Amino acid sequence: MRHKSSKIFKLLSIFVFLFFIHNLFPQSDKIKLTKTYKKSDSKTEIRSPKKKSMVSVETLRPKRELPSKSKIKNPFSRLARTELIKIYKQEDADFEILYSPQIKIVQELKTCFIAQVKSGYSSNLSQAGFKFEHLDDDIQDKKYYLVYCPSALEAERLKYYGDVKLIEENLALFWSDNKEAREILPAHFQIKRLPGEALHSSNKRSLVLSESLHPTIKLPSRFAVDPDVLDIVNQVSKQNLTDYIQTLQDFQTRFASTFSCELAGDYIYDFFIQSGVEAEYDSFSFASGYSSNNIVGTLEGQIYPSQIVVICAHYDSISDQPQTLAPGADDNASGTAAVMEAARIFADQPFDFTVKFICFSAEEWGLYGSKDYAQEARQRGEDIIAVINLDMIAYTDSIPEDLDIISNQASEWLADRFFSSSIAYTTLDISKIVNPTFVWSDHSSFWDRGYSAILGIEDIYISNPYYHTTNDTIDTLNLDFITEAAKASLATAADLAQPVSTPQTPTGFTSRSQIISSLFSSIKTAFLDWDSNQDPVVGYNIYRTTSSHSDYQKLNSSPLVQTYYTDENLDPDTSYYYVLTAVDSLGDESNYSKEVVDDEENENTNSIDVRALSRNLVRTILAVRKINPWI
Amino acid sequence: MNKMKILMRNIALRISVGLFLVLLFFGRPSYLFSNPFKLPISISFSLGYFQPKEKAFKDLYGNSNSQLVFNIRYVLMENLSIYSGLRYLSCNGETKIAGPEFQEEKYNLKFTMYSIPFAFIYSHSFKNIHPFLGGGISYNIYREKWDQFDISFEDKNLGFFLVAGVEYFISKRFSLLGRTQFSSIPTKKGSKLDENVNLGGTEFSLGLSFYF
Repeated sequence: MRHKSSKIFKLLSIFVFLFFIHNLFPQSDKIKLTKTYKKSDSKTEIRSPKKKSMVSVETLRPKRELPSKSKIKNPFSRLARTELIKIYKQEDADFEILYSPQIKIVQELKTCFIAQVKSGYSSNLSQAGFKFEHLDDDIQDKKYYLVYCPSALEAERLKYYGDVKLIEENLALFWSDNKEAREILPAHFQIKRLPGEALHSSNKRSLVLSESLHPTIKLPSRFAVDPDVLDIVNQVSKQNLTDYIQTLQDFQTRFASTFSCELAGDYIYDFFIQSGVEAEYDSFSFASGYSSNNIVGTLEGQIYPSQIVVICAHYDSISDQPQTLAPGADDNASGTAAVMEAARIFADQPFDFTVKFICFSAEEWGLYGSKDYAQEARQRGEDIIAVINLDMIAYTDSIPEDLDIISNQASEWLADRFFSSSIAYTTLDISKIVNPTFVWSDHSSFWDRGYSAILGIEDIYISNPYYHTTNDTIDTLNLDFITEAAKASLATAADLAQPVSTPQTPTGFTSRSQIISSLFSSIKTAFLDWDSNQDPVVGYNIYRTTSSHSDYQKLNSSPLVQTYYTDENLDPDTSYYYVLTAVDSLGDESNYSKEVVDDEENENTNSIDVRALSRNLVRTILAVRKINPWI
Repeated sequence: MNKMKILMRNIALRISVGLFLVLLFFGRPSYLFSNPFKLPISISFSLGYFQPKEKAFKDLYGNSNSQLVFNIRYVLMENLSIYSGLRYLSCNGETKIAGPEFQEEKYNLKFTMYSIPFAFIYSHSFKNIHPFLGGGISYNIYREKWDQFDISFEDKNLGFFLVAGVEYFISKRFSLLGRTQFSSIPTKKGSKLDENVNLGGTEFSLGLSFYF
């Protein structure tokens, strides 16, 4: 018996030892090539780096280097490696799994998400009904980039510089160990460094395929031409815009990492200061060793300074000779000029909300400046309600030219606001395009951090033949077009930031909500509170919507005299957004207050407060009066 | 998958009802000939209370609720019988707040449930005392309604139960009945208070049986 048990023990030890050996060493490339996933229907093959097809333009191939130290894999790293995968959006899948800690979604695109997944966990996606595709089996010591490939030829050319996986039509994932894509790729490639951080939880992980070239446009329920906004629009000067572009072009190059780029930053900083806007340098480092500055101008809001409207553009440039000549007149002195003109004009006008004028650097390196800013803004808890990013707004390939406004689904309301402002204040035609795959400018960094952002661009498909060349100069631009585009952008930013007016916008607006349940049904009640207006007013109006910042519907039939409101019998699974206005004796209505979501203050208030109790008492008295009218 | 389940349930229900009717009209149990009673059928009425096992149910409607039970029993053979009937449960309650509470807020609720049981019963007789034990399935129709708002929820679910009790014959045709029942009625539905409500619990009732 003893002899038999020791034999079993020996056999078990051998088995455990073999299992360990098997897991310690990575599988060969041959095995990797045969790795397939039952649920995946993508045609993108899993290629071995050695199996690249022969190239026709051999001169484009950079010298392949010997494997670096980082390339030699530590056998133990396999035990806790992280994979990069592509998860297809599917309406019928159980999307709760996308919120699990083992899955870090780093990028949303039109048809899919790109995610980092702990080794071995991806099989759970199949069980949840998601199709997925393996992109890379170990993300350690690699820098990934999304690269725009307008044609199959471009995708083929990209393969000469590193590893490539086609993700969507015209979009590829690119990496070449730990190298900076901008240092090895030709200038004409548009790139975005793939974020390493998870998307902010407020991002709508929509499972619906989300591209619509002709989406519906919802105009605001309450919109009137504001004389203050009209005055701002009328101050936009074509001559000023021309001067700013010329000055920026005269720096010869604004390629981030060059000294003249920093000088261009100083010029913008000085301009903000001279205009009367508070300015600061926002330093950041990028591409392991370089540093640069975003230039941030701030005009603090008078009523809700915590609510921020951003109008931004990148001021760096690129060409095929980036160190010496990259005039970047259209890309993107044009957008920068519009932001500078906004700072000049807005400085004289008080607004309800704070306006930030930001000129980003290192956009051409992969959106480094805006990524750094948006990430820190989210960490600081900044309440950025809208970002208007302007990038290439001065070239016209045909007349009349329209301005393309690109948004993701969560930012559609902002595109609609841009559209309505353009109609009201300019003659510019607008095309609204909802496409989360268009990540080639700084708005994308704000999408990643859960903020609403749009991009204004002359054409979604690059039509400027001088794009990223040394010939992108002011003489190729249509200065009438940029003037109209700037007017529309400033009108939208001013409309969002709300010029201060009378009656004064109500302050101290907060909301809490509680859920009341029976066995099989639940309802939600929202309790809204605000401060009494300093100006004499006859009452207040409450507006509600279920899609943030749009479709507001008035709840009360006549102005409310009290400074609270209870909204009952709400769907507990829906978020409700509220704004408030004050009404004076002439019937004039104030600007909207800041928007609050029904449970905004839930975390800050944990018990029944005195104010609520007194309100309860009022409700009880009213209820008793209903029963006995003599009381 | 759900369609398959519903189909299987319907088939099971139809077979059970069919079997019951066949036994009721065409059965010739031997017990009939040795039994002093003319027909092997009894009916009973009992009153009692129901203790829910679900915490959410207790929180909303209290720990115990009164119920009325009507049963019809058919004797298949000497110790084995089948029974069906109707149980009616009605209770009033108040809503609860799920999650953070900022203001006291309550609304009146009314819950009603009709259950149709179908069970096999094994019984034994010790002179006038007949203890019994059995188990079966129940078909339950329930409705919850809010007083202040136009909110109501109605659904139907199958459940299962175990029953035990005792009958004390006070005459040839009448007996006193005491019974307890343990039931489980999983609904796979719920609210923010409890996402998966089970309407089962423990029942106690006392009543009177009549043998034809």
